[in-house]
Amino acid sequence: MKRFWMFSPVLLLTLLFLGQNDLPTVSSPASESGTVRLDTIQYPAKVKAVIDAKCYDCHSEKGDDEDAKEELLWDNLNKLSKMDQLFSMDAIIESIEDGEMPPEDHIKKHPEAALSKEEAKLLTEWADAIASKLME
Amino acid sequence: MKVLKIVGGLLLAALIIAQFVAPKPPANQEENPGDLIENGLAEGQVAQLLKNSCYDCHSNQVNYPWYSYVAPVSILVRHDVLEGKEELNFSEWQDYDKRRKLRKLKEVGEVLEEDEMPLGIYTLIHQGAKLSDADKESLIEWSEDLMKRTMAE
Repeated sequence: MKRFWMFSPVLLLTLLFLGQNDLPTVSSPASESGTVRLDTIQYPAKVKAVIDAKCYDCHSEKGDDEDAKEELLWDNLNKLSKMDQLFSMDAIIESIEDGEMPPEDHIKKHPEAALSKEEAKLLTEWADAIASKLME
Repeated sequence: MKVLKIVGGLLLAALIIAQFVAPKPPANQEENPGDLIENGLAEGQVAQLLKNSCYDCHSNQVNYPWYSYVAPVSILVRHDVLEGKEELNFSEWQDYDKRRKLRKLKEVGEVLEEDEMPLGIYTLIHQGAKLSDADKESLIEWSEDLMKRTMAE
């Protein structure tokens, strides 16, 4: 038992070190906690979770609706010009605020894809902050 | 023969009832202080083209022919005008913030280049609203120019 306590500082430091490693890094694209850092557009974990759950089925390469993919591919956002990023953010805000996204017929088939008021606010405020930054 | 009469009678009755229950197209607004043309952002020939080919769905000043109030046409017109105004309303242009103005102008260029607008079902009846290649060209040029001006604001 005594021996164990002798090692406790080492244990503590080890734990701290492990904790540090949990912090987000550039190379961890989908860490569960913290911020995922990309070129200009960053996704806080909460935002990323909503996008993954509610938007990603159609707006990613795995989607099979070509129109949806042409309008927006989340994974391509950071490859776009600043101007197109701005337009994407503005389109995201408008389509959520107007209740166009997620589409009604999609929600009929997948009721779990509906955005709650809080989720909608989270996404639009996030997109608004990025758009404002891009306008500078 | 009897069946035909009954079916015809039912259809007629449905048509008459539809005149009373079907919702009408959205009403126009006389005063539009935020209107694009009123604010001098489009002039002359371009303003004319916009009024003639776009304003029937994308403004609060739609030219409604008499039959647009008659069901079932009214239902289609109502749908297209409501959707058109939600997408882009030139009568409320100044309510858009800078970045939305820029995006709307970019989209104006896109739908013209891709021949998505004006809608085929609209120009079918409104032949005069069809845009020639030269018309499209001047509208695209105008949208690009207004983008630059908006950017500089």
